[in-house]
Amino acid sequence: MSTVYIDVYRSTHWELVQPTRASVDASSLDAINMAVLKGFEEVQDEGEPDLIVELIDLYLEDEPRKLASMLEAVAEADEMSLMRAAHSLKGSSASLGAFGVAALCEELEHVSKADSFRSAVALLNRLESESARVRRAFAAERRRRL
Amino acid sequence: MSDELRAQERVPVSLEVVCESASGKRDARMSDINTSGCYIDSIAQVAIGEMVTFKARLPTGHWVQLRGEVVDSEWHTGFDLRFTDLTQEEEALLAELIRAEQGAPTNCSVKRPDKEDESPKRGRDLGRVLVAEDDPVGMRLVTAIIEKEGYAVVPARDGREAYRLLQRDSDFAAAIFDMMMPHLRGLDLIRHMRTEKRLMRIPVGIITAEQDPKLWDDSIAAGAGIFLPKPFSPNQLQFMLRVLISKRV
Repeated sequence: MSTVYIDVYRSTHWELVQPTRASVDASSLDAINMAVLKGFEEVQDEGEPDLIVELIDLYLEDEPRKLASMLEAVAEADEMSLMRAAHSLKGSSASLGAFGVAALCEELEHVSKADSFRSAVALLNRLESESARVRRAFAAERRRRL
Repeated sequence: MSDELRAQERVPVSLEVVCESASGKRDARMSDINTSGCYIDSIAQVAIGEMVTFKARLPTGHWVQLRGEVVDSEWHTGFDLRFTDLTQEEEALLAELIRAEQGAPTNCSVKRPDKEDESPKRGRDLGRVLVAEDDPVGMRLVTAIIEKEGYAVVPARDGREAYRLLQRDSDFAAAIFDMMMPHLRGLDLIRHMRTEKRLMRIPVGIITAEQDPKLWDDSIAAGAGIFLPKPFSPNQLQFMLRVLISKRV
């Protein structure tokens, strides 16, 4: 009978682990927490496509759509659509260790009409910038794994 | 539970809990525990013999719901609970928590398939798990983790698709729903499932990036067996699945 280590942890997967590859430019070094991605290696099946590459591909395909939805929602002052898109991107970003993007999405999720979306535009600018760093970091990790 | 475990001295902990008793619902803190019971620091007025249901946030990030009988109560200070109706999985969970708090290795006694059965065969015959998640990254991740456990995943891209699947199929060992989905939320699905006899027996877990504690309360109240905030590790989701399977009626 095998036993399993239950991860009774002290938030270890939030610790910042710096990627070491020189090909990752300095500005995207801390955009993603590599320890989170590495944690998924334990469910990787031998001989199967790289799960982490699959997850990165799904993220890179989906994230621009969600960003576009948020831009559109702000332009149309559509609070509900903004909340949904921000919530969705928050979940996928946090799942893959992109905590900076997740934190900005959390803020966007709670932008209300009462603010007339004043803060949303500034937040979206920051989100676009942070998302670009995340995409660079994921792209570098993807290249490394293939 | 063994006499050895029952005789364990309480170990100090500091776990966030939400208690529900005759006097209402209150946030509180669990300050010590063994596998038989725990002490809860609370200003709630509870009577000896009263049954208390509470949710506790474990160091693993899971929220679990447990039950106990008040065996001692100190005015405006707290009360002593004796756990009641623990499942085997909940007992294992508590034992594991106590070992971890004592600084002991966290080997879990939860049974897993033998090593030779752990070959990477996707979707073995252990059963089917319904997963409703609108985020493609989340769905791929949950699927990989559940399949690694030996279960086949039946995916639903949103709440409405899950609802339609449940209309014609109830052969699921468990269901895992994202809380916030288009059309129907995970919470709405649980409420629906609790109204149909053929679906009642399916244990449901909720995963969510939602931070609102009220939604967590509502989903537990609606019948979710366990609650897991995003982001989660493979171990956390695997554990959630095992807890759910152990609750299957």
